[in-house]
Amino acid sequence: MNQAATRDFPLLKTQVRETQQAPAATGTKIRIDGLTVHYGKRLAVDRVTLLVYRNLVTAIIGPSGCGKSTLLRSLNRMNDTIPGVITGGKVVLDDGDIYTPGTDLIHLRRRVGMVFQQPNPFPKSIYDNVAYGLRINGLVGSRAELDARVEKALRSAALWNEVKDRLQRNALQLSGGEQQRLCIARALAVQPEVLLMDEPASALDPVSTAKIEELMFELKADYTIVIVTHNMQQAARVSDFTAFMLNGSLVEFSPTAQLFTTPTDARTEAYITGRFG
Amino acid sequence: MSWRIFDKAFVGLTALAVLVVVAMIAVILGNVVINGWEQITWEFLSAQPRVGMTEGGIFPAIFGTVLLVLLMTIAGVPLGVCVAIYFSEYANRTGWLYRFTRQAVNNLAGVPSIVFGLFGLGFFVRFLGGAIDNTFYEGKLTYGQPALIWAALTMAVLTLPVVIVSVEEALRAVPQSFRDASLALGATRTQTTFRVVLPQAISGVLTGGILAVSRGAGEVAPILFVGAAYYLPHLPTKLNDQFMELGYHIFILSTQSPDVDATKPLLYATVFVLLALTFLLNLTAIAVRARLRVASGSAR
Repeated sequence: MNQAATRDFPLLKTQVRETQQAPAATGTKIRIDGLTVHYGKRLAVDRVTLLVYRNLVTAIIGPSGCGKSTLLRSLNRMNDTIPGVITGGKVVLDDGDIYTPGTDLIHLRRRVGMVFQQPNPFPKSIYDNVAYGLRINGLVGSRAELDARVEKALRSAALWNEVKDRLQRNALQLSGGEQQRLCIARALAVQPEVLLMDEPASALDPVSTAKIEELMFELKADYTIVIVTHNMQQAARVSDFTAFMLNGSLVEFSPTAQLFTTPTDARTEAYITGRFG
Repeated sequence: MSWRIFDKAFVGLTALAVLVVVAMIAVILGNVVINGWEQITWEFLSAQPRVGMTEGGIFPAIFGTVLLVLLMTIAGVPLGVCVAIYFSEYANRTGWLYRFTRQAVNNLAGVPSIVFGLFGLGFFVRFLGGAIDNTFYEGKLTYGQPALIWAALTMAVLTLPVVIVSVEEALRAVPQSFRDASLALGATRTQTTFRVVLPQAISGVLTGGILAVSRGAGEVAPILFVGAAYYLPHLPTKLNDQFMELGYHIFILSTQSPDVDATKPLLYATVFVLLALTFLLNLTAIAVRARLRVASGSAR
């Protein structure tokens, strides 16, 4: 992937770039405390407790249906849009529990942005896609300011050079990988503190995937990132901490290097060596 | 072996069914066009009926129909679109309230149109109109009688379920992922509806509206009691005037004429005009949809 020092992950049969000695946890951004999510009667997330550290990438892995996406969507309360979802427990962002009654969801979702599995740009121009969040939130006063914020977001998503000459073109004309980076730019434009990514590369080709992963390294400096992925190699490459979930429960949560080399739980080892899932 | 024969026979049978339908349409349209086309003159379109409707034109009926359709659209379509937005975007689809109201709309669509006519007479003309007369006109008969406004409202109620169902379908066709993207950026549900969902669904919304209107334009039964007149020397100018209407005019020409043979050519021509108006509305719907599809540049 690049020439930086690499670390072997024998269990995973992949090499991973050494990001830093041991991830220096600079403080907790999100504290998930006894989180339980029901879809009607079905239990999707069962008493999960874990910490998301500031300016690091936290990966959530696990087989399909293990509740990892549900867990992710509970961090910006996107589950609220699904009828019949009942959430219990706490998700403390900085100092406040986002499930306290009366929480301003608009404010919350501006602080906690999200990128979805399928690239979902609006069928509008590239420019309007990025400007959308700024416009609806009334975050900018002038056209010049809007231009500047759109450019900044597109640069942050490493897309500016590719699209700067065709900002007014329809976003659906972009390739899948470009569309996903546009969605990242759209999320970054409102300057969130946390970025949630729900299998952001699962619909993309390897080159586009590599670009997204590269991007995550850069974004970490300014954002706290939580990524859900079913691709363990990807989790090993991009994340500092990894949580492994099974049947709605958190099995293991450790620094990524540790989880993929010396997992403490037998189920984790079985999963990452490909014995199930 | 016998299955292969059965297969061939069944294919032949379905093709025959299609042929029957096409033939029926061809006979109806052909008959109307061949017999009606010759009668369509400027005078026919612009003049009043004369000599007990055996001569002259149908302008008052065209005028009344267009006015009725216009008022009906203004009264019904915005209401229907709002209901559809509520159903599609806001209602909790697992709740009993949604299921109950949704079923009510479905049942409304199945009510025979003559019942709507009676409802219009009872509710709009007698109850509402009567109340207006008692309150504002000291009991003098003003709105408490069949009138353009009541016919338009009755027709609006009649077309409401069609509008609701087709608009709701158009809104539901917008992928949930667009709503999620918008909500995740901190948009309210209403911002999402107006900035993402409606622009995406606009061609479907307009098409639904126009199709509902074109369906309403051909209905006669509901306006029998609530405002359509046999003959009027003047065009309607006020909301409480009565009016002539194409469909009703056809009914009159074919059943109430003193000289059936003399009105026959006029009858064909009137049917031709009504069909042409309805097709025009349908064509508009198709054109609007095609145009918006090109304009939005979307793949759908």
